[in-house]
This record gives sequence, C-alpha cells and structure tokens, in this order.
Amino acid sequence: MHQAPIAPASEAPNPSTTIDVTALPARSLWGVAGLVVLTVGSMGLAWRFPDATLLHFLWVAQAVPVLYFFLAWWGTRPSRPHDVS
Amino acid sequence: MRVSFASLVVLTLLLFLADFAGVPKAYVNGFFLVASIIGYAVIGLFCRTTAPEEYFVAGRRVSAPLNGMATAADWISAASFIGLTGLLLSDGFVGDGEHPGGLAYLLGWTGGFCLLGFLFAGKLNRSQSITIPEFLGRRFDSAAVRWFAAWGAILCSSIYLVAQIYGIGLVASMLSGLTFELGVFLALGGVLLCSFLGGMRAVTWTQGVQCVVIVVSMLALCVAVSFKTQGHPFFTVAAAQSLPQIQARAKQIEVDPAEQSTREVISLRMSNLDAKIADPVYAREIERQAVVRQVARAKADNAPLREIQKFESNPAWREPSVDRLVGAWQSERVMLAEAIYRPVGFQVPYLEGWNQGWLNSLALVFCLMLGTAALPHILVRSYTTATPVDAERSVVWALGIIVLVYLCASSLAVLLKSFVLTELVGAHMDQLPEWADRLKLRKLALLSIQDYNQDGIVQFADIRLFNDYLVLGVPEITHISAVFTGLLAAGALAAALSTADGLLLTISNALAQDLYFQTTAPDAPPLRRVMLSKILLMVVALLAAWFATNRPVSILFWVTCAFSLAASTFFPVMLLGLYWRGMNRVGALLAMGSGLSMSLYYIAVNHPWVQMRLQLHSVDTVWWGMDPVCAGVFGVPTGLLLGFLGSKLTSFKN
Repeated sequence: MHQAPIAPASEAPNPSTTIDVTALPARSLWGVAGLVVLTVGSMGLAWRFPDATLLHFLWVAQAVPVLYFFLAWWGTRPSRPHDVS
Repeated sequence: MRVSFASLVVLTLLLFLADFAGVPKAYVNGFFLVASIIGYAVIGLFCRTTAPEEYFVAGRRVSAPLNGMATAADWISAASFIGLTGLLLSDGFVGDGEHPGGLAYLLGWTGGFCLLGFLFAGKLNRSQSITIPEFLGRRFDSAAVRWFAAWGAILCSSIYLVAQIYGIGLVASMLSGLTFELGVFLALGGVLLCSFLGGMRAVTWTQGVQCVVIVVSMLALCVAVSFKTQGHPFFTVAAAQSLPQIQARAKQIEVDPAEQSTREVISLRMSNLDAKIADPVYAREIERQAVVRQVARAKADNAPLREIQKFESNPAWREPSVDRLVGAWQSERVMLAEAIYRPVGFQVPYLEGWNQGWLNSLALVFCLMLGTAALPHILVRSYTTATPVDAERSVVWALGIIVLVYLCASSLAVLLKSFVLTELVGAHMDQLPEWADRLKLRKLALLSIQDYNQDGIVQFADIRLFNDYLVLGVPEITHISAVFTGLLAAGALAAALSTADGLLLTISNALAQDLYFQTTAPDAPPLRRVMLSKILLMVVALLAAWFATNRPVSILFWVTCAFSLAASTFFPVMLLGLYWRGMNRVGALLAMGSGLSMSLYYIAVNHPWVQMRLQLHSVDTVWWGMDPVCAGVFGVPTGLLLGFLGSKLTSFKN
C-alpha cells in the first residue's frame, strides 16, 4: 500500500493517522458499474416508452430506489480482511 | 430512538383526541411546532459539550444505525421532503420533453448514496480527520488546498443553508400563524440551541430523533391518504390502482375544447408579454395610460377600493425601474409557460422519447448523484463512526430510510393528482371544493386559480400549484384529519432543521478550523477552537436567516445548484486524491478551481437577473440545451481533466 505524505503537526490535528491511496476495490468498481447500468437502463426504458406511466411509477419510482439500497448493501460488504478491524 | 418514536405516537394520539374534541386547528398545529422545537433544544442542552472530539466528530463512536439515521435526516432537506411530491405532481415523471422530469430527482438523490458508500465513506473514516478541507489539506500536504476547499465547502453549504432556512420560515409561519420573518427566527432558535451547545454530538442525537419524526410523519400521511382513496394502507398499490383513472381523466381534459381555449388565451398573453419585453419603455407608457383610464373610470363609478387597488397593482404602474418591470414580465411569462407546458397527467402527450428532456434528465441525475456523494455536510458524517465498516454500513442505513421516504413521496404525488383532476378541474369558479378555497386564501397560498378564458369553469391550465410547499396542503386536499397537517409540518420542520444543523456546523467549522486557526493561530488550544466555532456558528445562522428573510428563493432551484457546485468542487479532487497516487497539490487546486469556476459561470450566466443586466440571451449562453442546474455536467469533467493534466505536467517537471 502506498502512503501519501502527511502534513506537519501544526497543520494536522491528528497526525498519527495517514491517508491511504489505493486502487478502487473490485466490489466497489462493480457496484459503480451496476449503478450506472441500472440508472441509465431504467431511464432509457422510461424515456423510450414515455406513455407507459404505470411502468415509470412501478419500476423507476418504486423498484429502482429499492434496488439501489440492495446494491449499496452488497457493494459495501467488507471484502478486505483489514476492513473489519 | 424508541423513546422518541413512542413520544411521537403518544403525542399524535393525544392531538387526534384534541381534534375530535373540537380544539381549534391553530392550537393543534402550534403545539406540534412548539413541542418540536423545545424537544430539539432539550436534546441540545443534554448533549452540551466543550470537548473538541465530542463537539467536532461526536467522539467517533456513533453506531452505524444511529449515524445512518442522522445522515438521512441531515440529507432529507426541506426541498426533498416538501418539494419532491409537488415536483412529481407538477412536472410529471419524464418531464415536458425539454426539462428534466421528477424521476431524475428521485434517482439522483438516492443513487448518490451508493457512490458515497462505494467510494468515500470508509476512506474518510480511516483518515480520522475533522473536516473535509482538513482531510484534503493532509492528503496533499498543502495549506492552499485546505484553504480553497474550505471556501468551496462554505459556498456550497451556504447556498444550501439559505434554502433550508427559507423552508423553515415557510413551515414555521404556516404552523404558528406568525409572519415569515418571525417564523424563521423562532425556528432558528431551536437549531442554535442544539448545534451551538452540543456541536456534532447534540446534532447527531437530534438528527436521530428528527429522522424518526420525518419517517413517521411521511408514512402516517401516506397510509392515511391510501386508506382514504383505496381503502387499504398499501400506498404503492393504491397509487398503482389510481393511475389508470388518472390517465383516462388526463386524456379527457387534454382534448376538452374549454381547456384548449384556455391554452390559446394563455399563449396570446405570452405573445403580448414578448412584445412588451422587446420594447419595455414604450410598453410601460401604454400600460400606464391604460391604468390611468381604468382607475379614473372606476373612481367615477364609485367602484370599491379593492378594485382600484387591483388596477394599480399592474407592474407597469407599480415598478419605477424598467429592469424590475421587465423582470416582473419575465416571471409572469415563465408562470404562463408552466401553465401550458406541464403535463395534465404524468407525461406530456405525443412526447418523443429521445429528446432534450432525456439529455437534461441524464445530466441532472449525474449532478445529483455526484453532488450527494460530495456534499461536505454529508461527507463529514463518515468521521463520526468508530470504524470504516461502520461508516459504510451507516450509508446503507441512511439510503434505506431515504428510499422509504421517497417511495411515500412518489405515491403521494400520484394519489394527490387524482384529487386535483377529479375534484378541482371542471368545478365552477364560484363553487370550488372547500379545500381549494382554503388553500387559496391562506396567508401562505398553496394554490391559485385564474379563469383565463372567462367561462366560469376551472380548467387544468387555470390552476397554479405552488410545488415548493404544496405537500403541506395534502391533509386538506385529501380530507383527512387536521392533525396530519401538524404532523406533516413537524416532519417538514424536522427535515429543514436537521439539514440546517449539519450545514451550520460544516460552515462554522470550515471558518474556524480551516481558515482562522489554520492561518492565524495554528497552535491554539482546543477549548479556544471549540468556542470560536460556536461563535461563528451563531453568526452564520443569523446571517443566513437575514439573507433568507430578505430574498425569497426557489428552494428546489438553489438546492439543485448546490449539488452541482459540490459535485464540481469536491468530487474530482476526492476521487483522484483517494484512488490515484499521481494526484498532487497542483492537480488538486486545478481540479477544485476549474470545476467550481465552470459550474459557477454556467449557473450565473444563465440566471435571468444576470442575463437582463448583461443583455444576454439564453440561445447564446445555454450549451447543448442543458439546464443551468445541471452545471455540474460541465464542471465535473473539467475538474477531472485539469486535475489529471495538472498533476501529470507538474510531476514531469519535477
């Protein structure tokens, strides 16, 4: 893991901790990809069929936010051993 | 939390009894207001602290569920609690083919929490910082980065804060019957007592209680309206059941000749306004002469004073400055355009799917998602949990609560639409439903009706709904108990107060920690730091209140702008700073500066006031038809690009 330099003591009130710069974890990357696909796909569906109001309401306004919740739950599950510490 | 939930239920039941016993509605509503504010202030008193770790980050030991509740309350603002239902009701789901529809707000405001959880929450917690500018300053080992980030945080949060305080004033004045200005200062007293005394520790507990109030009030209202309309408590099902009837009624209204004639009259008025705006000096002279004649005739006929005042209220007579007169005409034109372009049902007829509205909606979702993940007062909540995993879990808790409130808001919009289309459209002007008369005549009008084609019947285009706070009239529109008005307003007040609490802390901490102590007294003792933060918090609150009382604002517009600004200023620098080792302080400064400048420029140059002053035209200033609130769609890529290039170029040089 590469560490970024930290500020001098006068600037940083808690200099004992460092800020880690790491690559995006795979689970988070997949989560972001899922978010993009779900959002653009759902909006594309709604705008492709502008008269399908029931679809807009049930899928985009009600189901997609619930799916976001499950996506966030899945994407933030600890996948690295040090996460749980 | 259990205690607050139980107290709220008991209080509501008692007020139901009071309502059945015939206690005046003003007392019931006033009680909700006073009880809410006193309750929040008491929590502030109990949680008072001067310990820096407690004041700034609540001791870093808040559990994931409580932090999630506090984050949800922090995030659910006046705009999203009060405004989203009205927005969906008025603008429909997919918009009018040019501007974004309500679905874009719904998706953007919820999806942003996924980004926050995936990208930032855990990493911020691990840094053990106190403010976002401090975190960035440490990451790039640069006082300049910290200084710039502090000003960025202050700007984004201040815009958001004024809109919240405006919302607080609306709700408090509606509940108490006080003037708007007094309502602002009364409610602000509650905010100050809480955040001033206890900082983040008090704000966390207050926001937890406010979250309970927000969720219970929205759920109770939705269930009650669902029962009223379809006889069961499942609001999503009730809304889905109502939709086919709404669509059938909307189609009927769209082809009604009376509706068509109303729209023709409105179009004619818009053309007249265009002609006036093109030559305002000449038009003002003609209008003034007409007013003089009308007033003289009315006086000769011994007309009532009210009628004379109506003639004299013509802006051409009232406004001494041509600029302000043109502004008044432009506002009237916007209002008329809304009347004919907004959908009767939830979509405009004969809409082509892939249009400018689609692009604007995508752009808005982009800005709202990235803005949610980059708002400083939301990011700072990641510091208050014990571990990174807790910080990420709290984001999931927050999202769950927000989703629940939004499921209610979208269902409520559908259920409310059925009342407007069936009870109000087609009614005689002199026999309006009782609720319409009440909403029209309130001090804070939620509705106005103008009979454009003079046929004595209300057409859909005659109705103007005040989206920003229409939801406060739901109990009256849907004929449910008046207690729900108080409960709903308590929820709206909780939403506005909780967001204002978080914003005030963010601004005062940025001013004290990141600007003053960073530059002037870096070795100041902790107690002095806390005391100065408290004093600045009070000053900022009073300034924001003064600003809100002097300048009526569109809550939703300014809140959306704040999202674009936050996304442009913080998202690129956070993303590159956390996940790319090559990002350096030059890149960070360039990313923040260019993103913020680009968004600010786009919002400012397309603002009607600026356009009028600088003689600009939207055709020249709007890029690819993007709404000004979507400024982040230009600001974020600019910030990312310049942040990357700045870092690369300076690292080569070094």
